[in-house]
Amino acid sequence: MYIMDMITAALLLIVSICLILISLVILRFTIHFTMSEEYREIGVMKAVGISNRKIRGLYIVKYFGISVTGAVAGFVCSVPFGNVMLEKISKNIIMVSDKTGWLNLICAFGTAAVVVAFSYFCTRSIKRISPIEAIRNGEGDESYAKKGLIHLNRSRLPVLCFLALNDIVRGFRTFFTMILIFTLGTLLILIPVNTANTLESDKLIVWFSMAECDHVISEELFLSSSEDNLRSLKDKEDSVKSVLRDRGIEAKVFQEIMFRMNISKNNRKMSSLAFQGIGDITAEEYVYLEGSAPQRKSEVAISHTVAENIDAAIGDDVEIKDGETVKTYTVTAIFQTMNNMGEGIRFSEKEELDYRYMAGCFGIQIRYQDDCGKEEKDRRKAILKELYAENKVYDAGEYINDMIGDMAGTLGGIKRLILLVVLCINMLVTVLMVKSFLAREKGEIALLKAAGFQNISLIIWQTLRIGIVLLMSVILGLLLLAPVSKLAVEPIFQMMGAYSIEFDVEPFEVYVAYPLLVFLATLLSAFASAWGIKRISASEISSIE
Amino acid sequence: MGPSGSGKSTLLYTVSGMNGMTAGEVIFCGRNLGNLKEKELARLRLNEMGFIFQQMYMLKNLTVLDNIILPACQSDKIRESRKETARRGCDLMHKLGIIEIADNEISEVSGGQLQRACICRSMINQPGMIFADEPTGALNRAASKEVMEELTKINGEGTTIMLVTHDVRVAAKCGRVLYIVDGNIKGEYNLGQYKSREELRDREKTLNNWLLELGW
Repeated sequence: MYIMDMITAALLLIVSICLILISLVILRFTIHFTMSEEYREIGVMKAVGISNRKIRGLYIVKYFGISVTGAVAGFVCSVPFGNVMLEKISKNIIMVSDKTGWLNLICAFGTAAVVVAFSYFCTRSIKRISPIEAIRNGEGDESYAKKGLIHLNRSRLPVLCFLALNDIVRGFRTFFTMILIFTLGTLLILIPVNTANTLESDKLIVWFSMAECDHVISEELFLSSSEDNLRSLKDKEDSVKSVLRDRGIEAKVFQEIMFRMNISKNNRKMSSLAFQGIGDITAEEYVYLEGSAPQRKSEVAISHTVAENIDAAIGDDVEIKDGETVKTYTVTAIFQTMNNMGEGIRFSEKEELDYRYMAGCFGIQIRYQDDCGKEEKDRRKAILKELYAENKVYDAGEYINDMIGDMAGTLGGIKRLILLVVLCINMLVTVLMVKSFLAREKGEIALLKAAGFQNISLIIWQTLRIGIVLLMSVILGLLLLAPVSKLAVEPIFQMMGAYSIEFDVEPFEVYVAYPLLVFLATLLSAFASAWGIKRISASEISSIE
Repeated sequence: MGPSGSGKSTLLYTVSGMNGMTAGEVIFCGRNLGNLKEKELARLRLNEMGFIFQQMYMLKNLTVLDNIILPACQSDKIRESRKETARRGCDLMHKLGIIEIADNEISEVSGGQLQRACICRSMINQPGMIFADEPTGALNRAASKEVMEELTKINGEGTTIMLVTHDVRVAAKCGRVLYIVDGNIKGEYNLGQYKSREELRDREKTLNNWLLELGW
C-alpha cells in the first residue's frame, strides 16, 4: 500500500511544481504590467540621474517584502498541514526522520529567494528604457502592435469576435501568459483525472501480473506445507465453473498463485515474487512487453525490474531456486508488474513447481466465454454475490483498487482538490488580467463608447478574448496531455514497475465535463471583472493622455 | 470658444449624451437625451452622431480603414455587406485624400492623415451631427488647414458640426460662435456662411476684436 502513497506523494509534488511555475508566470506578468504602468515615472527617474540599479532596487524591495511575508505565512501553515500529511504517509512509509522543521524553513526561505531573484531578472528591461521616449509617450514599449494578419474589412466574423481575436493575434505576447497558465491548469486537472481513472479501470489488473477477466471472487486461503494447496485451489475453481455452467453461463475460471523465489544470473541475484496461473489459463494469455510467453517447462518470463537487477535479457539462462531445488530456465519474455515495486517471474502453466512453498494466491478470476454487455455482466455479478455470499465479488478494476487500498478514492479526493485550486487560479488570473486590460485600454474603451458601442458589447468583447484564449489553452492542454502525462506520470509508475502504461481516458470527463467546468468558472469571472467597463465614461476620452 | 477649464468640452459631451446632465435638457432629433437609457444613448451616438477628438484616438490593433468602418460594422443603420461597408470607407478616404493609407497601421501615418481618418470614421454612419473637440489642437498649421477645409466641406454638404476650439482661424470658418467662461455663455456671434478668402480674413479680424472685448 505504501507504493500507492508514493504515487499520491509524487502527484502532489508534480502539482506543486506546476503551481510554482504558474506563480512565477503571474509574477512576471505583474512586474511587466507595473513597469508598463509606471513607464513615464521610470523615465523621469532616469532623466534626473537615478541609476538603473537603484530603480530596479525599488521593485526588488517591494517583492522582497511580499515574498518574505509569504515565506513566513507558508512556514507557519506548513507545520500543522505537514504534520497531518506526514502522519498519514508514515503509516505506510518508513520515514528517516520526522523532524522536518528545518527543511520547511529552508524551503520557505529558499522559495522567497527564488522569487526575489526572479523579480530581479524580470526587471532587467528597465535598462533598455529611454528616458526621453518614456517621458514623451508615457506608455510601455508595447504601445503599438505588430502588423495584423486579419482585417475587419475582409473578415466575415461578427465585430466583437473579430476585435477579440485580432487583439490576441496582435498582442500575443500579452496573452501568452494567460495561455501558459490556462494550459498548465488544464494539464493539472486532466493528468490526475486520467491517472485516477486508469487506477480505477479494469485494465489495471494486467499491471499486477494477472490476466484480464470479468469478475473476481475473493479467496480466503489457508495454506499448508503440503501438496494439497494446489488440489484445494483447483477444486474451488471447478466448483465455480460447474455452478456457472448449471446456470447456462460458460466461463473460464482461473487463479494466480504466488511464490517467493531467488533468481540469479552469474553473480547477480535477487529475491522476487513468482507467479503461475492455474485453471483455464495459459502463460500466453498474459501481457508481455517483449518476447513471447514461456511455453515449455524450462522457460520463464521475468519482469523489467528483475531483468534490470540481475542484468538478464531474452534468451539468457537464469537460475531459480524453487523450494529446495535450483533449476535453470531460459528467459523468453519481459513483462511489467506493479507487485512489490516491479518484482515478478512467470512460469509456464506446464511447469510443476513445489506447491508446498506457495506464498499465497489472488482471487478466483472469471472470464465469460460469450461477449456479454455491461447489463448482463452486472446480472451475473449479482448471481455470483448470491452464490458466494461469504466472499466478495468484484469487477477487475474494483478488485485491484481494493487490493491497493482504495487508491482511486484517495486520488479522487486529490483530483477534486486540484480542480478547486486550478479553478481558483484561473479565476484569479482572469480577474487580474481583465482588470489590467481595463486600466491599460481605458482610452480605447472610452473611444468605443463615444462611437456608440454599448456597455454589454464591450463586456462581451473583453469576455470573448478570455474565452478564445481559454479555448486555445484547453485545446493545447488536450494535445499536450498524452506526452506530458507520459513525461510526468510514467516515471512514477516506472519506479513501481510499470514500464509501459496506457492511460484510461474517459472522453466525456476529459473532453467535455472538466473543460466545460473550467470554461464556466473562468468566463463567469471574466464577465464579472469586465463589468468594470460600466464605470468608464465615454467622456473620459478627453482626459486620457 | 473659451479659456481652458471654461466648460467647452463638458458642454460638447453633454450635448452629445456622453456626459449626464445635472440641470436643463438636451433635445436631439426631437428626443430628450435626459430621458434616454444608456443603451438608447449609445445607439443614438452610433447612428446619428460622429465624433472627432483633439488626440487622434484610434484602436491601435486595427488598420486605418478598419478603424474607419468599425462603427458601421457595429451599426444596423445601413444594411449592407462588410464588403460594401469597406467600399464606402474607401470612398470617404478617397474624398479626404487619404486612400493610400487605408491598409496602414495607425503608427505609420502622420497626425494630419490620422485626423482626416478620424473625420472619415465620424462620417461613416452618415450622422446628422458631428461633434469635434479641438480637432486641430494637436496638428501643425498646414495639417490644421487641411482638416478645417474638409470639415467646412462636410458642413457645406449639410452635416451640422459643433466644435470646440482655441483657434480664431478655425472659429472664423464657423457660422455661429459661442464664447464660454466658467460654464456660462458670455457671448454669441453669428457669422453666417463665408464666400471668399478675403471675407474669411475679415471675419478673423472681427472675431478677434469681439473676443478681445470679452476678455480673451
